[in-house]
Amino acid sequence: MSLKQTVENVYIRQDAVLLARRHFWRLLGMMLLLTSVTFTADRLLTSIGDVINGAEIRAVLDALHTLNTSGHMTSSAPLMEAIAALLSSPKFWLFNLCYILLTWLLSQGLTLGRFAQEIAAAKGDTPRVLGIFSRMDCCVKGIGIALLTDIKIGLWLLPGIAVCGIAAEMQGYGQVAVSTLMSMLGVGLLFGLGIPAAFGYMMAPYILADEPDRGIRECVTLSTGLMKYRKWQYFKLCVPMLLKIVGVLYAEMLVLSLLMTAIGANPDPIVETVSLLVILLAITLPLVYFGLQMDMACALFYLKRKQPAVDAKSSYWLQDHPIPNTPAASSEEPPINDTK
Amino acid sequence: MTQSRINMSNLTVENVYTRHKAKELTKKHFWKLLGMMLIVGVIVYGIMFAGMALLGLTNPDTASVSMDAAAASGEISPAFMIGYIVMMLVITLVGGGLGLGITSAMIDLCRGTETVTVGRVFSRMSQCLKAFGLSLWVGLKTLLWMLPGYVLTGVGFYFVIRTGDEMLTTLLPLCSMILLFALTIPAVYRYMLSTYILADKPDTGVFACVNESKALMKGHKWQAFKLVIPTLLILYGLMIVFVLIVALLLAVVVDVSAALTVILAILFFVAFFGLVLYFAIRVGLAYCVFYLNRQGEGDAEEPAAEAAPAE
Repeated sequence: MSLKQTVENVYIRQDAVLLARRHFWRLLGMMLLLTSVTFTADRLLTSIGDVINGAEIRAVLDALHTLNTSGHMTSSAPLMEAIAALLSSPKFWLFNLCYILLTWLLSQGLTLGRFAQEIAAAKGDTPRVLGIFSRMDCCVKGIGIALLTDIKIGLWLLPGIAVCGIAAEMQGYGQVAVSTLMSMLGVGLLFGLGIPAAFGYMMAPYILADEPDRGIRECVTLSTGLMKYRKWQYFKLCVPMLLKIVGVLYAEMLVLSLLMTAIGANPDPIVETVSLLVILLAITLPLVYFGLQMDMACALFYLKRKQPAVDAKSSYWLQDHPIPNTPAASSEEPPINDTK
Repeated sequence: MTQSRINMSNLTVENVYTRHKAKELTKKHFWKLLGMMLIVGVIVYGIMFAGMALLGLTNPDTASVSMDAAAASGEISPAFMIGYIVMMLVITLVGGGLGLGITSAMIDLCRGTETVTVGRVFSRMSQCLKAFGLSLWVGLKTLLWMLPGYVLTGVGFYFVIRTGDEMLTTLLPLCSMILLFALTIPAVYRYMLSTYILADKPDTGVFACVNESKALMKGHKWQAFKLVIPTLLILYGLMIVFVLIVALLLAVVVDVSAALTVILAILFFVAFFGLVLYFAIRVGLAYCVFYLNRQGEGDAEEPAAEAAPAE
């Protein structure tokens, strides 16, 4: 990975932090809206499913209750029959297919909308919370991209899976040494081919979110082109942020566990509830805060790959960050113009 | 963008160039520096083994037991103890002088100004007493920064014993640990460059080295901390993969041939040792480049050549 790519990563992360702070409440609002919409849809569909399959589900629950109360092994037959009836019911499978399809469509549309708003923020515009609904018309294309990339990644994983399968066969024939070596080779192929493939198609949803008129195959092909020779750079872009999240969570767990030990003997339920809420917030907030920074970094990375020239609206590209002529950094360095 | 964020951004970029330069220098001078480190290792361990052998000859009663066992059983003679202390002192002095020599060689390699030979490792032996004095003085100053943490721990234990309060039992050690880390780690980084200053300018006094280190590190301690994290992470990752592969290979080979297992184990040891040494040299060179940057001797040409816009 070239020096320029490493330096570019530094500036992308710095800019991502700034953008995430600037638009924190809007981005948080989008995340919360996305989570609540998908959760509500899930609950609604589950309730509808309970109504449609009510009779079969009731039969299973009754049989289970009978088994728990009686405790005899012979009483499990009604439970097995009730489960078989549920699983063989056509409306059960039809409903579940519709459930999967609808939730997938909804989550894809909302995710594309979120990406579109993050790209807008990276370009210098103000993201809108309700903008997560702006790409609902692309939800089918989003599913298409997900399916196509999964199939392509699966094809890249095939050699590794085949070698692991042969290794398992060798194990069965008592060839332990050969089996072990082939397993190592298989795992190496899985990681060595699968991970670069996954990174190669990573930009496809961003391309669709940014240019919704593009086709599915076009997005995937463009993603491969954009990520050529940049996969390792993308991986290294995210590593420091992941380390920050792990470090902060680790430090929090240490402090919180000691605090809980200190106040754990207190039987007061209010203190206990407040403590649990504090723990929940302590775990969630860093994940959200750094997660938003990572999202912004990915959006900035996409824009950088797409637009090698400096974007007029953006303030933070490489040309706006002149590489210092002397590596000695100090307060004597001229300030970078902040056009925002 | 605030001024502090601009500075942080520039320092991070400086770290990127420092690591890159250290990597290039390691590739170029690896065998030379490896030779120097092996010489130091052979001399220091040679003194240690010779010393232990000599102590064993002069004190036959304690020759057959380990130090710990002898201390536990109270069999250590005063002569043995004095001999042991003298041996450790000699090792510290010789090791300090040789360490300064390696550091001086690394600094000159980073400057690229003169040809450095393996014999440079002996070039600072005349400063071994000063190196010893410097390490004592830095150790004392660091210990003073650790005192508040230890005092709080002591006070905490006193109150815990007196009151038996559960909350104090938990909170006070936590606070004392935080205080210990918060004061000690910056102190360690504050005095970090004093050895480099002594190696580079051997005429500098011990106190002057420490004061200059404090001045150079002002505003750069966090930068120094972040400098080697990526390198150490790479080393950590490589070690895990390396150990996994070798363990699997050994599991296969152990049933095939004992001789092959021994050969593989030796190869593994040599390769592992080599890997650790390679990254030790790279980290050492990174800190030498960092020292030169603080002295204002950073490479002006390399960053300018990279300043062309991407694509």
